[in-house]
Amino acid sequence: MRRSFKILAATAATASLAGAVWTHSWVQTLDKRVSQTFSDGPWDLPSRIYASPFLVHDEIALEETSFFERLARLRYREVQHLPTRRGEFRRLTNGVEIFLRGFPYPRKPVPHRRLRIDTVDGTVTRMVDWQSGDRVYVAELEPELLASVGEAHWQQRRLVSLAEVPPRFVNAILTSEDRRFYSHYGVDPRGIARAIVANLTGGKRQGGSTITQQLVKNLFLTPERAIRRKIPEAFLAVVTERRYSKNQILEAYLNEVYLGQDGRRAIHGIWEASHFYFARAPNELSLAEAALLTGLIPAPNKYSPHRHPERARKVRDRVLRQMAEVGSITQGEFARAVSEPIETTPPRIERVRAPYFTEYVRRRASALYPTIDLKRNGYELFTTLDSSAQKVAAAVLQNGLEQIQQRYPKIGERKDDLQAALIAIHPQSGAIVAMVGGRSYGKSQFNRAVQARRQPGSVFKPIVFLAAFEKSRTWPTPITPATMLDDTPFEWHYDRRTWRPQNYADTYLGPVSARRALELSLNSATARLAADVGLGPIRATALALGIDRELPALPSLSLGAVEVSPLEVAEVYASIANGGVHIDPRALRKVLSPNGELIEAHPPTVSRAISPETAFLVTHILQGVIESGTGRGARERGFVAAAAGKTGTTNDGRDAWFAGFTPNLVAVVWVGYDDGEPLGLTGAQAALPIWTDFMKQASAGRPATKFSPPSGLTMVEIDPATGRRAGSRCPRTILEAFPVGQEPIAPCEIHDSWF
Amino acid sequence: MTLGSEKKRRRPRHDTLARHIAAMALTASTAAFIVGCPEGRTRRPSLIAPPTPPPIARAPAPTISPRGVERPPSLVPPFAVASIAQGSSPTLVTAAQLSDQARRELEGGEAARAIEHLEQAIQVDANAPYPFYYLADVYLRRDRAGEALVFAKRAVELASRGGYPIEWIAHSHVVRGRALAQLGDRDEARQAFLLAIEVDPANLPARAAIQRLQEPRQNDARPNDAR
Repeated sequence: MRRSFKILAATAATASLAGAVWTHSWVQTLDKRVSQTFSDGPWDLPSRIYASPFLVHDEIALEETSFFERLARLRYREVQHLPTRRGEFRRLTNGVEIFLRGFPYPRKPVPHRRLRIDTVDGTVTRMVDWQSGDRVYVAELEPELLASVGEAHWQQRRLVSLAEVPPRFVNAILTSEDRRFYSHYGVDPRGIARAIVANLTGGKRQGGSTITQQLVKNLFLTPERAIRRKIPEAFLAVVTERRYSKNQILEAYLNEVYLGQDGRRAIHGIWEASHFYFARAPNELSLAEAALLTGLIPAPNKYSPHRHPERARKVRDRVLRQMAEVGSITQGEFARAVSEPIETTPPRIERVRAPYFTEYVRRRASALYPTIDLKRNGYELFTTLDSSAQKVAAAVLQNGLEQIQQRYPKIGERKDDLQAALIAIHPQSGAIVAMVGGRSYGKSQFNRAVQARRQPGSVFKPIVFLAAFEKSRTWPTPITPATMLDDTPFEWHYDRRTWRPQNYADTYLGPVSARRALELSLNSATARLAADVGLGPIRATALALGIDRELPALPSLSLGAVEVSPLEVAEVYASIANGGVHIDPRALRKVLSPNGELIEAHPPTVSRAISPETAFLVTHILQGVIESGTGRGARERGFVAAAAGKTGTTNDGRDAWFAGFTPNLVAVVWVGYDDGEPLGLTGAQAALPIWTDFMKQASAGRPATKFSPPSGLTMVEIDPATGRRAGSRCPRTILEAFPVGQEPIAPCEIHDSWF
Repeated sequence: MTLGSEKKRRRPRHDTLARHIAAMALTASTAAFIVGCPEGRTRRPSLIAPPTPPPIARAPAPTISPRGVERPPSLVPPFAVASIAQGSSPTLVTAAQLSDQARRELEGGEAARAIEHLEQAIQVDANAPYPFYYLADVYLRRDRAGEALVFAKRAVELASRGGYPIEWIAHSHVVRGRALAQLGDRDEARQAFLLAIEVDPANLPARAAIQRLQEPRQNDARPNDAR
């Protein structure tokens, strides 16, 4: 008996020891897991990509610039009273009152402000800060979120510190979820006992989990409701409590807690939830709003205020009642809060989609900062994109392609294959304001605006004229827009070979002014000009303007026989629009760290490509393309702003282009098939309508601007038929730009001659 | 005594033993847990501190950091708003306001924000000379004289179109001269400063700049030192 007892005792001791060793090792494992998770950062924080902030200033037409649409996307709430809370606005007969939200900015955040915007016929005439009475000249709407890098995680979270959460909000959560949070050790036996009793006695089902248990469950365990999950949960909770302080745990909980669903996107943390339900930061929430969010914690979708406002009201009132019971709030506060209606912002506001652009930005950022994990590290990338221009670009491109397919049934046969790209740049800053790289990002992620290499055809021709005007400035007889060129069949002999450019439809005009040659896109006259100037200056000019590749020294270059991307074409035209100054196109404006520190700003990189006089001469001719040349379709479609542009069509209509600009906006449109099969359409037929629709809408509501000649030019009335100074009998005259000293002196001989 | 009562009699010994074993195991496990659980071994400052990103290494960069060492402004730039003539277009006034804001930010060392405001000013009115003037100044302070010259020429060209006070035109010439001087084109720089004085004889920075240009350069003064 004694022996068996000894054996039993030894076995027990061994078992105890083994159990102790195993438990010790298990706890060590849990501890390692907890500390590892928190030291690595418990969450992946996707970096966010923002559009450019919208500027409101005098002479902006609110409706036409999509001001109210932007407000809706930013989840401003329209109210009928004087806006008293951030994110509210009221429409007036002649204006808007708005309580603008501020937004973070390194060192000095952009402050929130109350603004009264006076309008006449919808156009801003004056803005006043209605608190200080100060005149305001410019106001910024906060930048719109375009995308998060790594959205495949389908989780959104922005971290808040405990200090940023109002104590009342914290009290609501503690009262509702874990009243003894500050006194237990991660597991609350009283809470468990209460839950067991409630569950056994058939009372309302209760969970005995503490906040710490909820946190570790969400971070480390599966959501199954089983006892075998409860044990590790309890151990993990205790381990976490022993390693971290109560406030640290609470802070983590506030950022982890699941609070609903926005489509496929899970809403985690109170910052996301505050913005999702109320479009406000947690510290801007009212007591009732904070109580509502707290009430959602047990079952966010069941109590969703968007789908079940009545249920939401009940849980909100329950939380408020509990707060009143424990003395967190007074009876008066309770009464006021429960009388508040449930008001949330709409559940889903369609974001402006810019997938090609955001991918372009992500690649740029990854190339610039190879050590940053954009999917995990929560950086903020501020870009140059104008969200409304982007929305317009995507819509007009889709619409334009559909119209082409309807109008030309043969193209309709290859319906999904027809592709297009659109890129728009602000010429004075190089800011990319819109980018669409194809008709469907879902079907093809190939960004044709940036990655496609296509022949530009005639959109290249302005480079020939720029080179000619620039180079010939020192010649005895400089080439000007009035210089007469020979548009007849022509051969260019080089390297024992012969190149014979042909005009469209093999039609030749004979003597024609340089202006008319470019307006009508005459191949033969342009090639002759290129032969006079030489390929060297043409290549140098193209490189200076923004073509970023080796150009062949072949005569056909003068007619655009080189492969370039739409972005490069846009760069070239932006340089012309910017008075000859080339600016590197930019998509990134600045990058902020998760702590809001400025990592890097990206100011423009500029260089002088051509003289402002030469740039204006070509701009002036390209205006003629739109007024009476191959681009006159723009006017026929109702685009009335001052604009310049050029069509481009390659052999058999493989590529259809239109590149053009107003003083403030450059846009390039390409249409074609990826496999290079002929489209059979000209740039004017396929690309110009898309360009026109884009420019009309993207420029709408902004002050009209004109092209201004630089001081070194003079405007002279000439006879376009002769290129000479116009006389009183000339049947038709035009105002032509000339560098001072190069203007024609002699009057027109044909019409002013008596004979 | 029934079998059952015998069992009943024996059970306490087994129960006691089992309880002892369980108690020992629990005690040992708890002790192990307490020992194994490392209280406050390494307390982190905050659980929600974002994951520490690796040091940011930048790929060879085509752009510049806005927080690089910058030289202080060498002249007091003119106030854009003060130069606004009565009846100017609202967009010009707005561009001037934004440029003045940028000027204040430049003085406060917030170059990045200043550049953003200058870009906004250009966006509002691309024909306003003020933002180009200040951009030239910003780029000069960063030793990017070539780009500064581009902006300075634009500022001069726009200011010369009329409607701007002579002080402003003169200052635009001065910033152009400074860019040229930084590029080493002393003759052209001198011409620019002279032009500034011609436009506005009271322009002191231009006079001072000419004075500096006339001082012999160190390399000129001691041409043989390197030998």
